[in-house]
Amino acid sequence: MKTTTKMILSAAVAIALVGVSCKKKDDDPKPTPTTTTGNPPPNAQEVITTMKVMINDGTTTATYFYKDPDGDGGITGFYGPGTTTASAQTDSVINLLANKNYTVNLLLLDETKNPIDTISNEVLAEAADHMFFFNQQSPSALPSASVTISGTNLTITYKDSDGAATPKPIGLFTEWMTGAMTATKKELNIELKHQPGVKDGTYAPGDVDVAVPFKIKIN
Amino acid sequence: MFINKQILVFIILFLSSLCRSQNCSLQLKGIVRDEDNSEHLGFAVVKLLSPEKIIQTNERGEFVFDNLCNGNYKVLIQHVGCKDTIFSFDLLKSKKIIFKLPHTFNLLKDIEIVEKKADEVLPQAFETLKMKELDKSKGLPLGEVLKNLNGITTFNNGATISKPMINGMQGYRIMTLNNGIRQEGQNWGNEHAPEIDPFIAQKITVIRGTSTVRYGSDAIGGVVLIEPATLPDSASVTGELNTVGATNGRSGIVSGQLQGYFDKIKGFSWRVQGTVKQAGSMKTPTYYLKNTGVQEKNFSYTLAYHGKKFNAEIFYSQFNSEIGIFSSAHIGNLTDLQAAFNRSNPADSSATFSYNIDRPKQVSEHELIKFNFHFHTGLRSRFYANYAYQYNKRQEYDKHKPRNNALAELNLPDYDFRLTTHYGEVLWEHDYINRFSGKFGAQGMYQENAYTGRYLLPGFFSGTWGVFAIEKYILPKIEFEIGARYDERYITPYVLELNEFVRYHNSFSGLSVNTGFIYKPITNLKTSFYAANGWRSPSVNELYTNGLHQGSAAIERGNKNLKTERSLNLISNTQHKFKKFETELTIYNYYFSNFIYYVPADRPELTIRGAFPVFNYTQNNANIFGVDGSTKYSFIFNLYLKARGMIVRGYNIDNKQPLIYMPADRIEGTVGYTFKDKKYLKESYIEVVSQLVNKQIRVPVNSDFAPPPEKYFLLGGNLSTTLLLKRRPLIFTLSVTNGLNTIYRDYLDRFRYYNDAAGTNITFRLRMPFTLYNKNKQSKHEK
Repeated sequence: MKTTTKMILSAAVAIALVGVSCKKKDDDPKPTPTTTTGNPPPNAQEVITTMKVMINDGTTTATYFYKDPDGDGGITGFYGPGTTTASAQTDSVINLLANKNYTVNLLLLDETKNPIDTISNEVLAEAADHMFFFNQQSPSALPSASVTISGTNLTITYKDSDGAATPKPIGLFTEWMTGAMTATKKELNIELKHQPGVKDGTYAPGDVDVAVPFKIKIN
Repeated sequence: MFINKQILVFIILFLSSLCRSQNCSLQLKGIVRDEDNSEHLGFAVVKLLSPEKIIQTNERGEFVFDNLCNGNYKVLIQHVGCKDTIFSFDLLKSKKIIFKLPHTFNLLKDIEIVEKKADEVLPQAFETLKMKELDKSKGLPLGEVLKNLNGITTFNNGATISKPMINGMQGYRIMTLNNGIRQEGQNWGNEHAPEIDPFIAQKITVIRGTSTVRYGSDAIGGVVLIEPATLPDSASVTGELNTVGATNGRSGIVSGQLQGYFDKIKGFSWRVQGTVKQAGSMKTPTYYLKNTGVQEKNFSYTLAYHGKKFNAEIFYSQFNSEIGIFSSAHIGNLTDLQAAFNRSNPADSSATFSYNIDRPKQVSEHELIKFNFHFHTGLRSRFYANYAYQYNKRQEYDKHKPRNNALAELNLPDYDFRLTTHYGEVLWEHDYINRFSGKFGAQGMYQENAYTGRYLLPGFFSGTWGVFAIEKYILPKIEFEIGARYDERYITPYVLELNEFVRYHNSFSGLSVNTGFIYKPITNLKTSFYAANGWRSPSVNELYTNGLHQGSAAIERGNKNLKTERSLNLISNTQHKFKKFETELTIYNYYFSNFIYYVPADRPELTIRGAFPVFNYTQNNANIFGVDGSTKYSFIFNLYLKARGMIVRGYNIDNKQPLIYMPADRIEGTVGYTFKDKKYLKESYIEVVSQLVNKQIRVPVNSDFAPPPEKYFLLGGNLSTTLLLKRRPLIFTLSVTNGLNTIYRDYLDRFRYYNDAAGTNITFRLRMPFTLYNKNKQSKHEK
């Protein structure tokens, strides 16, 4: 009797397990893409394709950009202005004049979408979790948050605030002040960091969303 | 003439002047039983091969051979209605053996020896890990378990992700068979370890470089066979409970299995098995590795029917794991990578212990359903039909969450792959008819791979079919084998090019041939030599991968013009056992034409997330040569010494450079002591294991992020005993690895770029076999 009970129990366990194995996988993707032309299949991945640096000297605006047509990986990115294809420029120099003040706006776009998605608006909406950095340098505190780019005569001052209890800069809007002319060009790495819950105005916490190395030459 | 040869072999192989003085008064008592119903088989013919002696069993199935010398013996047993079977065993003292006829694939069968299970000298060029050795590595990932075999190393991502490497080859060049079915997962990733619960295995066998004709064309490096215990064949319910606890990672594992044979319903047997594992942050000698926990939940079950006319089996297994990736080893871009190399301690080295698994991590699930059917087509031949369905889900989470907070909150994986595989095979095998034994079969496989998330590996359909034939000609001292197979394979991927999906179609076909012989000139000396000509079609990732692979912090680019890789390999294996001296030596050479590998591009590529190194797939002619061996000597006073070593040399013939990621030269020495069996304590031993791994100096120039790490020396040990309580065994094993808490990094560990390898780990294991019910108890523990 005892053994029979055991047998029945074991059989029941086995049958239960068969049930477990037959779960449905309706949500599974298919190898065939949903569309064979046009946009990649809808997915929850965000893409940032373009960073624009718009530099205004008070009268005219010069725009420099870096464009990675399908986000990271895939097609090789390139710099502008003046080029539209991947075979082009791989190193962009931002030319500035000596002893001058510029106001600079940064713009992030997702150009894989139609219409083009302005990612910088989302950065602004989530300002408390995002911050731009220049050459990985942490600025002094607001309101006079600024960094001096070492090796060249450039000081960048943050002109915006995330509106948090202890306000911290964002970096979408900055002021660039140049000093004397420089003989060589100098690397200027512009990075957007995502620092949800850990933003403290310094570079260290969080993850890199965007990192584009430009070069600066003060003429 | 023969004697001279024998002496010569001794001198060459062992430089030993020990002379042959043997004890020739041993007695072998045997019982022959039917494997299916345990019936004692009277009047069976028992033939002892070399020296040839023939005897018949009495009506109770018993027989006796007297005046045997110590050594390895083979007996051929024939009985009406049963399959002729050859059993191999060592005789060091008089013993009693139960021989069970018939079924299972191998000509050579496991045998149940009442006094002590002997290590058999196997008839093929393969090596096996059995329960006793497995006890030393229970709870480790599969790759780490396999390391106990000669010629096997691993490619690691820290201590928790371990991919086996055979003869310096890994990934698609080796094949893993889980309970007879080829494991299909996302094999291409260096950080994708096989999704198999090692607790399923009663026995793990590695076949190196040969015999792969049976399983498929790809496995140029070798085949790993994971085999569960055979199901019970008489009314009983038995089980086993395993518990493992380890200090490093504070891990705990519980694994159990229960199996039985129905009393009332004749012919049915079953097994249920499951494992639960939880581990936290690993620790190097000086700091914790943040986010290196592991969680696993696995189970499997089997239901089998053994009838007079046919046998059928259904096997199901599920593997679920969540593995944390050391957060500092997940790199944003080239700048971060450079910063990581320049740091002496990783950025997160101030972390404390935790069981939490956060981003970055891998979540994988693997399901296997297998139907197996076979029947006898004659006295000595069988027909098999097998079908298997596999579902592999792999999700990889980058450290980096999406910038958009709403998306970040969804916490979706960045890569999400689903691989579905259908596999079917038919096989006919015959054994020992006019000295021939062989197998013929056909296999087919259909695969679908789909993904969501970031594009890296395209979605694809793929199909393979093949036919094979193997025949073996068996003489008492020599066996010849020849095998051939033909395969065709197609791959249809949907490749993303300039924001549009393009459908490609590739097809490959080829013939693989292998031939070899096993020569056994004297008892206990076996030498085998195999030559094989194989091929491997380029895999989907080698052809079409295109994207940033965060797992390796690199942009990987496939090459759709890759051609089939062909190999010509020679492998020779010699095993010798003389008194207390055991030796094994393997020498192999692989010549590859169109060897597929990846090379770094001239300069890193800039993306919107910064610069990343680029690796492109290419092919060249290459050569891999290796020697490995082991020796064991047992002294008086139960002291034993073991030594093991291996050398692998990979060479790119076209550009005259070493091949990347070849294992460094290594040597291992063990000193052990076996305690005398007491009334309650049996099979007790203690051993100290030391390992020296040299610096890998043979690396190609400009192809790695950082130079290879320095050589290192590790000390460890094992202590084991079997406690008998009311005739119920409890097997305790205590293992120590990296006993000196040495700070080191291994060349084949991808984490070496970022952090030191794990520090001291003390593992305690308890294995408890038990019997809940046994109808004919006397047949199980016969004295």
